[in-house]
Amino acid sequence: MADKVFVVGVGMTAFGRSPDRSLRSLGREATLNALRDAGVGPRDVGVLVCGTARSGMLQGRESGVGQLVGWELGINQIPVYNVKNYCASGSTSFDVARLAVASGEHDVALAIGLEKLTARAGKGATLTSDGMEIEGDLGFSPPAYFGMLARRHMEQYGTTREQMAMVTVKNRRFSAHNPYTQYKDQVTVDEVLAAKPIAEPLTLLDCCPTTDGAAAAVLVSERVLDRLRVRARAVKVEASVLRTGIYEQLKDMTTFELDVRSSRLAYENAGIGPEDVDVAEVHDAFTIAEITHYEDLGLCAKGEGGQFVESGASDLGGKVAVSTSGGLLTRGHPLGATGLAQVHEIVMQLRGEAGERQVDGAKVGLTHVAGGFMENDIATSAVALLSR
Amino acid sequence: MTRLPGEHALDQQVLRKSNERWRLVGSRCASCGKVFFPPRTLCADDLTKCEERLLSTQGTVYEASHIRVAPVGFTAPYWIAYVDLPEGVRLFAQLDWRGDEPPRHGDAVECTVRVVRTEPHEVLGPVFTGPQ
Repeated sequence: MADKVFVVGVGMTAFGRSPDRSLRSLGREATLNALRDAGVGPRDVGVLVCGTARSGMLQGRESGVGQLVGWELGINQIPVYNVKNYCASGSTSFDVARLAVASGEHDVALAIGLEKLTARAGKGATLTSDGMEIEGDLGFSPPAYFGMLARRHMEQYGTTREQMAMVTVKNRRFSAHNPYTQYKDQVTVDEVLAAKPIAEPLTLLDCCPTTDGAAAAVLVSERVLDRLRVRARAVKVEASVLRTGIYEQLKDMTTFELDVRSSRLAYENAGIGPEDVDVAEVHDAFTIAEITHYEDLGLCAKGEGGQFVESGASDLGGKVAVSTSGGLLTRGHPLGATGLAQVHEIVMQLRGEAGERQVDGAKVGLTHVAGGFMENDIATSAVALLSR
Repeated sequence: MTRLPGEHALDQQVLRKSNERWRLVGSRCASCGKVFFPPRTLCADDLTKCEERLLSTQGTVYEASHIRVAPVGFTAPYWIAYVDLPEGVRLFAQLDWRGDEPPRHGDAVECTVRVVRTEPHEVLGPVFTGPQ
């Protein structure tokens, strides 16, 4: 039986465009915030895990970002694991930290995720994807994939462009109350539809932006909760599941088998059902993605995701508030930081510290990242369930 | 992204010349008969060594999109699609399409091989055309 694991501190930088800041500067700020939030010192940390996706390509630091951030804060000598797993690099960092504590090997683990994505070439051009070498040479981009997914969803289930736009409208409303997000100005459904076309039918406001940022979390074992005086604000990790795809080619594009599989396993491990989830952070890299995730994560029935957002079921006061942080669409998506920014939001919600975007009485929260592409399918799925 | 000459060269990986014509090549498991694209060395189901197999030039559109903002190395607008081939594979490709509306799910298309990008290096790849 694995040891129980708790998140006792979270921290992040404000997400946005930070061309003048270095990886070490972003990582230092987020990690220091997490340590201070937990009230633990650098010498208390027994293991450090660091997730980035593009630091090799963009900053010439393929390895050793974890050591770099650790050095900034006097965290040394301890084991450091640097992990790279597409958009799920931050979630992977979280999961490895969880494993380190659950195994009984370590009592205090630091999970860090960061990315400085504005350093990429081609301002305004769409991001490419690792894992799609051949398709990349043919003009593939993530918006192309989700543009096609949107058209399939519209044809198969009658989902409308307006319903997709409502995801952005909702997430911008949340974003206005979150100090860490990139875009806070409010938009209407009409403005989303009339924005610059990217990959039809998706417009600029259906897609997440290019962003820099870092986020971190402190995970501890049950046996040190009292010694470190962190029990009062501890959030329990009920489940954390990381899985990869089966890469089936002739798949129904409107559902991700991988997300269905990883979320069902997370619910099973936690003994918690989707109906128990009060607040969820999902991988809303595109508006249609959030709609698809409602369905795959079991928050609504297959094909009803468009209606789910339109009815307000994913808004504050609805069945389950989704992307209360503002999501990837408005907070931004610094690849390696996203998974831990999601943990940051869920921890704030479960501690009742989310201010204007607080879900009343939130007891159970979910985080979900669908990371990267591999042979026409998503490559990685990470689902965690947290409770307080 | 700079690449060494020949690295990831699409024509070496997925195209073969047959009767003076470029054709897409996949692989077929000698044991279970499953066809894969892109080609792979071993069958994912039983690890049997696969053999090369030229793929059909006729396929059907699974879904398509008009790309209005391109990744680096491409010039928008252009059409892309997922095309299903009768062998049971789906591939991403550009589409030579003149209509205002996208092709419909199930529309028949035919594979041609053309230059699909020129920067940072010239790439030969599949472009599907439909009845215009």
